[in-house]
Amino acid sequence: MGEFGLEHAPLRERARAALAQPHLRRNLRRATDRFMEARASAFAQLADPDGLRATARALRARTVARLPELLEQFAERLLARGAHVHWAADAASARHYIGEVARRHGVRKAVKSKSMASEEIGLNRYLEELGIQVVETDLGEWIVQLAGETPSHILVPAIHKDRRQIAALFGQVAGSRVPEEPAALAAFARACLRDEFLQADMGISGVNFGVAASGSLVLVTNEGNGRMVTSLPRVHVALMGMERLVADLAELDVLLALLARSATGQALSAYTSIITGPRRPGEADGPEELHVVILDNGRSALLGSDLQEALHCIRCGACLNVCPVYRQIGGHAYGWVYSGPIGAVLTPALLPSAAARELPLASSLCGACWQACPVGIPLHDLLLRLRRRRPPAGMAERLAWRVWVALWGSPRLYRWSLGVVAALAPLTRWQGLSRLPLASRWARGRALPRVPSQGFRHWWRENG
Amino acid sequence: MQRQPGKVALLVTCVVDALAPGTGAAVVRVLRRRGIEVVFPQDQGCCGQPAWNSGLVREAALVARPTLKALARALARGAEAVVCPSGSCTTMCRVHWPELFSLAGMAAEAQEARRVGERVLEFSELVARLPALPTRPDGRRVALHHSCHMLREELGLRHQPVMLAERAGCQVLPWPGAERCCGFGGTFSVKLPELSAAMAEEKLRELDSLCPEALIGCDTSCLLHLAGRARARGRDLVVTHLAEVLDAAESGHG
Amino acid sequence: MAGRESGDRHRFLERLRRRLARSPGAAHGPTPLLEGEPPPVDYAGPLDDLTGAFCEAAARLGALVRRASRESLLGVLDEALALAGPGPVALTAEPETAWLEAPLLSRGRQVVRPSDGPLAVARACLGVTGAVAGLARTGTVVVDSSRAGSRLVSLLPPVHLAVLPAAALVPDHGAFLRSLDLTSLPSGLVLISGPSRSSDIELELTLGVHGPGRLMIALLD
Repeated sequence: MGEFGLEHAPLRERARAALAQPHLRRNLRRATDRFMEARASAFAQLADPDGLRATARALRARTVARLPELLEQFAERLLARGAHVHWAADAASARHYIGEVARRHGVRKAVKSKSMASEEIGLNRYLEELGIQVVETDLGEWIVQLAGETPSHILVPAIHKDRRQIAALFGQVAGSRVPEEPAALAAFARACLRDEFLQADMGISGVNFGVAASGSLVLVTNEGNGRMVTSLPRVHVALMGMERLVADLAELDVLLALLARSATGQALSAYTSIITGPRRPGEADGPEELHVVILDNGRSALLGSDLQEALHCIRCGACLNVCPVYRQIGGHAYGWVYSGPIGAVLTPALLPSAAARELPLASSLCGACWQACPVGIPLHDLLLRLRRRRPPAGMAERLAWRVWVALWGSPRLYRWSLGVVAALAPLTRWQGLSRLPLASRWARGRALPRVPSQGFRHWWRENG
Repeated sequence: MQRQPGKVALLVTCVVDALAPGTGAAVVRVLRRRGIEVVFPQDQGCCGQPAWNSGLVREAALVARPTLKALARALARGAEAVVCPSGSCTTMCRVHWPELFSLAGMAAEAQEARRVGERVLEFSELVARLPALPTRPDGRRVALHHSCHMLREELGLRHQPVMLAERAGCQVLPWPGAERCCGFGGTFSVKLPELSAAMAEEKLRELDSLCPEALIGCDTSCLLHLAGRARARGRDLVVTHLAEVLDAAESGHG
Repeated sequence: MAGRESGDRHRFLERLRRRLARSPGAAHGPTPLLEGEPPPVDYAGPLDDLTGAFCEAAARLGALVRRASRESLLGVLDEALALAGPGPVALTAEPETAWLEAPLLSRGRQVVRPSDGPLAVARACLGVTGAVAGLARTGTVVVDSSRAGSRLVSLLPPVHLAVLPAAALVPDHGAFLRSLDLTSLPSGLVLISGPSRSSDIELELTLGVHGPGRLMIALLD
């Protein structure tokens, strides 16, 4: 956690550290521009994109409103199919359960496909401390794992790395030089990870959607590692955030139509897997045991609150791709697993840290996230609600606001303050002005505005 | 409202009031030229947005209330609408005021805000519905900044500013980042100043190759922020509010 | 045999119920909840020719589509073999594919069955499966791994040949999903849209990371 070891540093410092990396920013621009363009083309394939988003929003709202009964149905269907279900109230419960399953099966090596929930609960480190080797198999995640870093973008975790850096990492694994061409790098990864898949005792995956009516798990991937992780090892553990349910396949239709389009601009990802139970008699492969861990870990705190809509998220990443702030600073600056606008909402809601509390400020409230969200989450509004929960605390700032209210809450004093500003106009040409508190912050990269010696009301008096 | 109003009240906004009087003057002239009477409720102040965006409900309500009352009085005395040269302030009044006063426990004001708010029109929103007047074509190649509040679902004003700029005789250049947030964001500009400036920098860098003769838009705060960044990077750029562009073209005085 | 349950279901769900019973109190009012089943997704553009649309969409994804009759299927098989190069061929025992065992043997190829195990399937240069549906708008083939008897034949070898009856074409994934019987889903169903792909390295597209890098679809009339 924390690419620059800055996870406890104030948000402003983390942002500045990110801004000082032109290479990262160039890659972020390329990635986000490309995804947005692709998204636009993909949405043009829909007859009524706004109507579909509205349906999806209402659908997710209904799911979350009915979550207890849907989860119960989901669990019953899973159990009937022979899958095991664990209700994990918190991260520790989830980790412990998975660790126990691993221990019972004598697991020495686990392969993982992409699961943000697993990062959220710190699963890898926990299993490694139990002596289990954990191998990330999503190409970008493997690169990031080899580098000892965390992902910087939910769809392209290693976007901050260039081919030279990746070749160097792979070279260390190979013990010899690996060519820098992406095709060669990918071929190397395929060969290495193929061995891991075949040797692993346990596969750990996330879940894009759980289908309540059938107890099915839906995985949306492009590389095929998700399919391997869930088919090759004899034990499959699926970790699912409790809110990631659909009631049935009709609801799945709607969300699948939106997910890949919103994420990468594909109509469908290369592989959409629908897994219902473990291997059945007569089948030659597939896991003998399927465990589904249903994770709360603070999500329930959002229910019944004005942040409930954050649970509608289907983790598409569109909000990251459109966010003008994310574009500049990337994922690491957010300090945790979830970045971008959804990260700025979820992190403070799930994590009780001081650093998390600043995250709702990492936004100009432009609203682009809301417009891009396939399920219509008003993220900009949720950020505002979070700001209301934690208004400014610094003494200087609170004093400033008090003065502001005292002056501007009265029409007479408001007019008076305008007069003061106009009277002081000549002073604004003084260089030293930029050393005063607020002015000095404005002056970080901008010239101070020229203040006219006569404001609008003067003009109105003459011309009203 | 489909037909032309006879009388409107001007919500000039605190930024224009103090820092950009020319914009307010231009708004008045553009409307008067069309035979619309403009009244200026003196007791208006700020719409409360800076505090609202910082999560300070009570502070925002206390500051917004006199403005609400001033506008309500003007509407009661015959003004048919309120015109405001700012997408963000218009959004504040039309979209957020009812919630603001509600959360602040001011139920009567919340009711009043619903009535008043729906009559607040952004400048280009109103003028786009009014007849075009002959202009001395501006003739300049301009970059048009679409501020966030103008674009969002609530106002949805994307083509109105473009149309008015073209009516004034400007050539609006294709700017890749035209609709991207400039990075002002209210208190964001001083809480995360480097990030705020970086967002402006990226937009302006895209203009380096386009070489516009001016940068125009409908929100003075955005324009001041972009102008500030432009001056800091040593490439001064003429930055003007759309109202002033239109006024200059219509009055024949450039 | 039923699965085992652990953790405290009742407590877990009670917490959710308690929290949901709180009023969010948002000034906007509650978000509208969907009523009834969501209508099928509406796509832009007409879809008169399922076959033509399917072939186009699959080709755009980089899959090789060959229309064939049962008689000419062997020609497609030969093309797949040429693409895959020398080596064993993994074959499922589905109605569309089981009969290919003899032709493969007569072409001197070792035939790997799913029951030979993952390592054997991994050594195959070509995997041949049937497909239970084709999705026209997205060029997707749907493989039912219960019917195929294996999840790995369409996954491990570097080339995958899917034999899809044209009668199994439907407009889109929604049409397919909504037609399924929820009580009798197979253990593994996979919607395959093109070869395996990744853009994780400098956003450059590479095919065949993990899954098959070549996908060939024999569309059987």
